[in-house]
Order: sequence, then C-alpha cells, then structure tokens
Amino acid sequence: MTDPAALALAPARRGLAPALLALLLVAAAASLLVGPAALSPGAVLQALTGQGDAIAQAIVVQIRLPRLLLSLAVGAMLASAGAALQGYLRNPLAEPSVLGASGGAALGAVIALYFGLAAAFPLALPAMGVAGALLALLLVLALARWSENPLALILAGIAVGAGAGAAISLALNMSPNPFAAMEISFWLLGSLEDRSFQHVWLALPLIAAGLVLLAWDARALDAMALGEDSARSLGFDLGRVRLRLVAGVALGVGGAVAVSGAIGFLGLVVPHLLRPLAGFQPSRLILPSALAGAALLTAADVAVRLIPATNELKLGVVTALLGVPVFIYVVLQSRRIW
Amino acid sequence: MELATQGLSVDLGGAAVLRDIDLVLRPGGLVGLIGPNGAGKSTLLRALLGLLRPKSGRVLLDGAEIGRLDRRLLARQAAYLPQGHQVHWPLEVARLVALGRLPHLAPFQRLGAADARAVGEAMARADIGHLARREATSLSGGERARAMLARALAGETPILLADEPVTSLDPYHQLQVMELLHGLAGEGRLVVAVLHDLTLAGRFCDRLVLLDRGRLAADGPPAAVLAPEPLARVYGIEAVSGTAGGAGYVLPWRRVPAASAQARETEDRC
Repeated sequence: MTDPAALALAPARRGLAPALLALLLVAAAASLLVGPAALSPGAVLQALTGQGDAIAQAIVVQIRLPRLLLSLAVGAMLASAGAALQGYLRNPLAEPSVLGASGGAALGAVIALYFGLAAAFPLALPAMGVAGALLALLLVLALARWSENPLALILAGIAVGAGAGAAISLALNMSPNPFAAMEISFWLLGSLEDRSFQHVWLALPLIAAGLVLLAWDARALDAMALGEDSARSLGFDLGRVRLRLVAGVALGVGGAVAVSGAIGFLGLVVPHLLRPLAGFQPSRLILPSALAGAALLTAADVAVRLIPATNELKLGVVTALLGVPVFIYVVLQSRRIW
Repeated sequence: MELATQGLSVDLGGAAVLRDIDLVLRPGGLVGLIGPNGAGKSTLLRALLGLLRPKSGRVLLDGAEIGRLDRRLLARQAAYLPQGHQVHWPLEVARLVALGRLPHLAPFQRLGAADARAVGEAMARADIGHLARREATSLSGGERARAMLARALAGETPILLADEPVTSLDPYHQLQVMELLHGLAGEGRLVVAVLHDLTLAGRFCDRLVLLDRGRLAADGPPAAVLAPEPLARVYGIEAVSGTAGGAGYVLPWRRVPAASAQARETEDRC
C-alpha cells in the first residue's frame, strides 16, 4: 500500500510538460527552416545570430521569425483559453469563442477591411480587432451582471457572438464588390502569412496578459469541480474569478484573433486530448494546453507551407480539417466522463 | 470561537425559508441540525458560511459579520461539506481530498509536506486510504460521501459544517462517521451536522437544533428535543424510546393518527 498523501502530491504525468516542450521546439525549428526560399539550417542559425547573408537574414528575421512567434503565442492562447473555460464552465464543449471575444475581434477586423482602413494603415486591422474584443468583453460583462451563475456568462457570450456574426454577415452582404467580400472571407479563414514584428508587438502583450490572468485562477477552477458553493467555501471570490477569466480570455483571444483571423478547433480539441494526461484536474491542464497549442499551431503553419496548392491553404482551414476527426475520436473515447 | 445568528431571516426565490433564527454555536460538542424536509436546515448551514445574503438579521463569527470577512480567511476557519457530493471531473480521490488544502495555498504555491500530512490524515480518518487512486466519479455513493468528508477534513479548520454527512452510508460507516464527527467536536472543534436519522442524532449529538418551517422549534439536549411532544408537533411521528448499554435511543416508529396530522395542518394555516 502506497502512502495516499504522497500520491496526492505526485504530479499526474511527470514527463508531460517536458515532452510537450520538446514537441514545441521541433515544430519551432521546422517553422524557421521551412519556406519557399531554401535555406540550410546553418544559414538560418547564422541569420538568427545576425550574421551571414543579408537576404537570408531578412527572410529569417523579418518573415519567418514573426510568423513563428505568432503561431506559438496564438496557439498557446487559444488552447489554454479553451482549457480554462472548459474548467470554469465544467463543460467539455466550451471553447474560446463562447465568450464572444473572438466574434468581437473578427468584427473589428472586418470593419477595418470594409471601410478600407486596413489598406490605408496596415496596423488598423489588428488594432480594430483588439478594440472589438474589448468591446465584446464589456458587453458580455454588462449582460451577465444579473447572475453569478456561469450559465449567465455563456448566454451573454453567445448573444454577443451572434451579434458580431450578424454584423460580419452584413458587411459581406453590403460589400461594394466581390473582391472586397473575398478579402473579408479570406481574412476570416485565419492565417499567419505576411505578418510582421508590428503584429507581434501588438498581440504579444495582450496574449501574455491573457495567459497570466488565466493561470492566476487555475486553482479556483479545481475548486469549481465541487460546485459553486464548495468553491466559495474554499475561499474563492467567484465574482473576481469570473472577472479575471473573462478579461483574460477577451484580451488574449482578442489579441490572437486580431492578428490571425479565426482559427477554430484548437481551443476545443487540445484540452480534450490532454485532460486524461493531466489527471482531469483543470489547474494542471492549462500549462500543458498552452505548450501543446503552441506546438500544434506551429506545426499546422509549417504544413500550410508544405502542402502544394494553387492558393496557399489557410491556417484556420487546416486546423478545422485536422481538428474535426480528432475531436470525434476523442469524444468517442471519453464518453464515460460525461 | 463562536458562530452566532441574530434574528436571521432568509428568502430564496421569493419564499421565506428562514425566519428570526437566534442561535449561538460554540465548540466542544456535536450539534445536530434536524427538522422535516424543507425546514431550512441546508439554508441555515449555507447562511452560517456566508454563502447567502440574509433578508434580515446577521451571522457573526466571533462578533464579526460573516459577509464582511475575507473569503480566504473564512475558508481557513470553516469547512463546508455540501449535500449531493458532486464532482465534475473524474479526479483521483487523493487529488480530490487535496482540494481541501486550497484555502492554505497561494495561487502558484505547490502542496507541501504539511498539506500531504493533512490529506493523508483526513483520508485515514474517513477510511478511504484504499481508494486513493480511484477516480472519484467511479466511487459508490457512500464511498464518495466519505471522500468528500475527507476533503472537508483536509482543511483542518476549527469549524466544520456538514450537510447530511451520513445519508448515503451503510450502517457501519454511518456509525463510523458519527463517531468521527463526535470525536472532532470532542477535540474542541465546532461541528454542526444536518441529520435526518433521529436515532443517530439522539445517540451521537450533544445538542440538537430542531427547525420547523424556517423557525427554531427546539434547541437543547437530545433527550428534550426528541421528546414525544416536539416529535409529534414538528415531524408528525411517534417514536419508540429505550436504553441500550446505558445510553438512551429514539426510534421513529409510526406516523401520528390522521386526526392529529390534520390538526397540525390546520394549525399551519392559522
């Protein structure tokens, strides 16, 4: 008989985080190595350290590095937001878009495209996306004020998300010409093509703030597994927990969607895949989800560059195509947990 | 340590659930909270933990209003074992019990040796050491009830408020848990348990608080509260009583005849 107390302390899978980190490093290396211009690993390494060929330097530092940083940050944010929301709402179907933040961000970006702001001033698009996400957050909080029940939050999020979706449809409907409509549609599919360090500096602080806010309340998510009364009796102020969670998701996911467009399924599937490995404990799921999300989105972004196609495949299309079968498989495997 | 209510009234969903409850609870004896279904037992327990906003009156912990206390500090003082024993994820039992240590942990702090000791001790006291690696959702109702009790004990709080801690247990474990609660009270903790089993309540509690439709109907030693008159008036039952091994027992035996039950209902309407 092992000592039960020692069991309580032992991490669920000691190797989980290091294994995911290794996966992430492999994907990151591939992301720097793969592209239309054939560069040797040596040349890439030289370029990163600021030596060697000027063209290689420009390709690696100006094109591939920001793209890598964004795929890491966006992937980490979407997956950990999914993990945190599934824990908070105790609903395995929750994903980052349920709070309306991604819808708000997408609407902001679409407005920038529709009125030509994006063409006049390149950063207008992500900046409007962030503004849209924040506005959606304020609306959701105002709507959900009447109840501390998590369900109120989902309802408010769905309402705001649906409103944003309707406004996006309106923009597509009213597009002055097919090219404008196509530009919006393509942006909505999600991509990290042609992103610069300006995008990185815009999104990264928001995503970092989002990740910190989500990680801060990880323990409260564990307590929520026992129900709301128990969570409060364990010392958690659920009003504040909710505020931090909603703010974290809005800032982080809003920042992510603003630079990448809509990238679906990552936030839903990654926490599902990892949950058994994290011992089903919500607090132990956030960091692994962030690592796996970063690795998966980076790998998908490499795949986008490798798959031959007349139009470059959009990242959001690839994550959805890969995500659906994985999701169905996971659901069939884990039916017993709900 | 003193937990008290002063003129406490609580409404839930527009209905009056508690009315003018004045109660002073001190450590050193097991307090049983009894009463028919819908008498307001669970609501009183939740109000004592500051989980409800009273309509009027106050709940005081050592003279300080409970709603104004810091939740975390309060959580280190009082543990709550709710009814129903819900667990949303298939957590391992040891991890479930370790959740009881949350009030003692800062946001990023890991469980330490003191936490491990408290968890191990709580599991041993609730007799679930052998279930440590089982998934909480795969336990039987009684096993889960004990796992939840261990979770509440793991916080090592001076106050324990338990809502129906023995309801789904087999007789062996009912007796074991009642002995445990009685022992905790004897160690100088303030222990209140909502109980439906009057026999267990009479045998193990040092004091019984009887609620009837939101009001305090009786408060005192078991022999007085479980006397024929309050039982007939509040529960509408008659009990068989006697002594076994030097201790008195009360056993609910039959409903009082329909006539008096009707009288009881008529009295309700007045």
